[in-house]
Amino acid sequence: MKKISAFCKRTLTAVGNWFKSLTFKKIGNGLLKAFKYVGRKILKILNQPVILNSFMAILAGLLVGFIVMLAVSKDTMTGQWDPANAWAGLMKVITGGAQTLQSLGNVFFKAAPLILVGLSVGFAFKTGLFNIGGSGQFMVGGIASLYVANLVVMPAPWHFILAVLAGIVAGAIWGFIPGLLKAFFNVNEVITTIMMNYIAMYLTYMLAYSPLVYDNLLTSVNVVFPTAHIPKWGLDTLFPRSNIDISILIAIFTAVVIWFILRKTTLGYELKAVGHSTEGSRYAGINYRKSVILSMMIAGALAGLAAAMNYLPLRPDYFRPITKINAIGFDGISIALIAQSNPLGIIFSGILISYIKQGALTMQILGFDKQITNIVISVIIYMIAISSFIGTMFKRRREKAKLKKLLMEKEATSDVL
Amino acid sequence: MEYAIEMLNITKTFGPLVANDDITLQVKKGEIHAILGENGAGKSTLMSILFGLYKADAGHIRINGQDVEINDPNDANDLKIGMVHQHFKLVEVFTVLQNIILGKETIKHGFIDLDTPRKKIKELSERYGLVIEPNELIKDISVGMQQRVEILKMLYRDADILIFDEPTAVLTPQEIQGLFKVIKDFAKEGKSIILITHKLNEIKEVADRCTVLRKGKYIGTVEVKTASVEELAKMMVGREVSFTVQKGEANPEEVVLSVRNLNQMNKDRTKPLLKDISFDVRAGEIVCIAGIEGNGQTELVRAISGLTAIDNDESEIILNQKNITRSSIRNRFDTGMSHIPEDRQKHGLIMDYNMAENMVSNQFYKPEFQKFGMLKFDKIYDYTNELIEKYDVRSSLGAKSLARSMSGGNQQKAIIARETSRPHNFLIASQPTRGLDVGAIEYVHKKLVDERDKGNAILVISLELDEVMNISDRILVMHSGEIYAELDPKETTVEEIGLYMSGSKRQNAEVKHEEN
Repeated sequence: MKKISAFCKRTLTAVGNWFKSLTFKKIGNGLLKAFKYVGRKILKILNQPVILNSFMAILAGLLVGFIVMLAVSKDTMTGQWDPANAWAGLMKVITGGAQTLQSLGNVFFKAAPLILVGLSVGFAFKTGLFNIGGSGQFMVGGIASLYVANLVVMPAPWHFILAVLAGIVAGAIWGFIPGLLKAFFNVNEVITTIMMNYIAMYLTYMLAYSPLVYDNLLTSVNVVFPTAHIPKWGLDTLFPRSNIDISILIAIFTAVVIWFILRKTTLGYELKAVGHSTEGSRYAGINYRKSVILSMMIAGALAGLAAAMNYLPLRPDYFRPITKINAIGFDGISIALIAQSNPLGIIFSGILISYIKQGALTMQILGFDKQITNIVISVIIYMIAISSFIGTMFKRRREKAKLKKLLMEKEATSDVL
Repeated sequence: MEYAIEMLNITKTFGPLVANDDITLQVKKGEIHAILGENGAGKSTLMSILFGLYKADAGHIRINGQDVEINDPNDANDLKIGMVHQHFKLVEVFTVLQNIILGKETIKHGFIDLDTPRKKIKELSERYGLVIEPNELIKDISVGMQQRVEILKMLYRDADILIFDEPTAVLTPQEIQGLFKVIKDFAKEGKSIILITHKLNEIKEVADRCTVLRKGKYIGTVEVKTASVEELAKMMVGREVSFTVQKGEANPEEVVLSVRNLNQMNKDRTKPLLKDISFDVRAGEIVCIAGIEGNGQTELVRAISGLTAIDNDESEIILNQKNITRSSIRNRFDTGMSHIPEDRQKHGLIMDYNMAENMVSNQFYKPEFQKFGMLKFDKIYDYTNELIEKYDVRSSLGAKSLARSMSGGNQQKAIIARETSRPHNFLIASQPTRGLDVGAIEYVHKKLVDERDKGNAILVISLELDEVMNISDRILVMHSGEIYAELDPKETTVEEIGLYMSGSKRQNAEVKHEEN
């Protein structure tokens, strides 16, 4: 770590000096300070045990995935067991997402909804609620967006914005109901959100079959609605031939907003206080019911936004009428867990999951099942759960040692008190 | 000299925490031996070792001169050691008789025989004047009788060594006198008594000798007759303590809070918890509500502070000329209320928030601390640091330390700092010294008197009669959800309050109205 820090310092100073050598001395000085500040912040973040834990967990996940691949790997031509193939498969998982600018673009493209669903779960968790209903909120949000995209006639940017808003509102409504039940009747939100998933599944199944939006050739909801697609803003020239659009920017922006709300605003203060202690926040005059309902609505709205980002692109996921709960809500739980519900961390864990999934797609060429990624992701989550447990164990031990020292010091000086 | 109990050089550690450090306790036969110490001094640990709940790391125990091993409470029973726990260990839905024989039933023809024990228990209860109703369910009898049941449980098991853990905490003064008489009778018969307490005047009253513990260490054993209360306190705390609260005359001015006909039913709407409560609190006076735990004080505080909604139409709570009967909690805070809650960890603090966040928990929405919905953290930290200095709140990381990581005394100081610094003219303090040691109690009392002298109206709910007598300017006594008396602390005695607390006396209702 020291070496890296020294290296960073040197490069940053060098860059700063270079700017200084330009005639704008003041600007150079300012930039130098800014660079140093940013560098210090980044180092501070990287030094946190949480981040180190996550990295170790990811390595462990890949290792277990590799072991599974070793067991099942075979030569694609002969069908014989071929351990060498497993190594190639692992390399595909690790590098597949970044092989070309196209695949990298697709990683970001697919990451946007994952980040947003992760935020939905993470935000609820930070305010003391378990949102297992990300899937249901996602499905109703998706169908609402698609209905608006297909049925409303409007000029380009406004049509898109309205479709997104429809998704957000539908998701928020789907979060509002469990919130209401929790606030007024103290019904556990885990149960209600799971039940809402089923209601959403059948509801969207019926709505997707409606002749208003159903396309018989695609066997899914129609996906051609030129004025409502997500704009690309030229990102596709940066990542040629990929599907990337501004959804990733929207996701990152949303994560920053959520971080800001939780960290800096009175709203976040209230919601977190209720999450930490309902009784304590009630005593302090915080409206517990309002907070719970609002939390669930924001969580639902985030999942609805995720759905809009998922179904509105030029080349979207198809919304097919099937009676199966979309698994993305559970991916969202994984993503939130890996980032330990930190909104900024969720940006990275969302991209990571998307990256591994993209790698798994290329891995299929070598005859591996892409479900191996699910094993990798689950192991990562287990490892993170364990590592935070081990982390607290170490912390406790350190604290005990400190206490012992303190007691001994007190003994030495204790005549008074 | 023969000792009934000798606990020699007992050491017990929990991880790095040394709960008992080389403690020696020697109790003579037929003596009442008090164990004195603050919270966390190691009294309970020591008794748990004697009763077989914990095993000592070092040291040994002798009973009647013989070395013994006590591995579990059954061993203790066999050695005729009995204990009355602070929180009774009774089965609520069993009768008194069933509770007494539980674990030592007599069996006849494969069935439980109740007649033989009934005779024995009757005999015991008559001999010691321990009045009980053998056929009543535990949940239907008074706390005092529950304690008598616990005592009979020990006697039924022929215990010779009786341990009482804070036995007076739940009793009225009259019941305390009764208990002490029984304890003295036991001692006369040659039983050995261990009395755990932190109340000095009780020790003075009944105990023969007293062993003082402080922070897990043995400080000394003294003859109670020759030691003064001040000396005992000094041994217990480690420094001089002042017991009387320094305060001048109160000059009550205008009425700040007035409560009229406050009624409240329990959840099932079967039993009234508060009945027609009416009283005023004026600026510049401390009104104390005395009473035994569970007589409606908690409900009264919850109703005034807004934690429970009032559903009775006649009830009225007026604060600063504003009717707040149905106001939200935040509204009440803004009208001038401050509230030091009974349970500081459940209500007073958000344990996972740090000091600074907690210091603004009921005023973060005010313009000093936020702008356009964004918290002004610099202001919040400045404010907190100011309070930390002014109120001497100690913690490892100052404003950034989590409430969870602070000691109980400092948590209470933090709450007092917050509640007395925010704009208010009415302070409601519910058991503000609960669980605090003598030094911290002194501090809290001083702050309450300072508040009064600033011209604020103070309402204190307390279960400790000493505290009530010490700090109040006016006393209201509550019993079963009603106010039984309004008294002047200068003209009343602890005994008189006790009669009202137990409900055996009541002031004339009409007289009370005139006073209002």
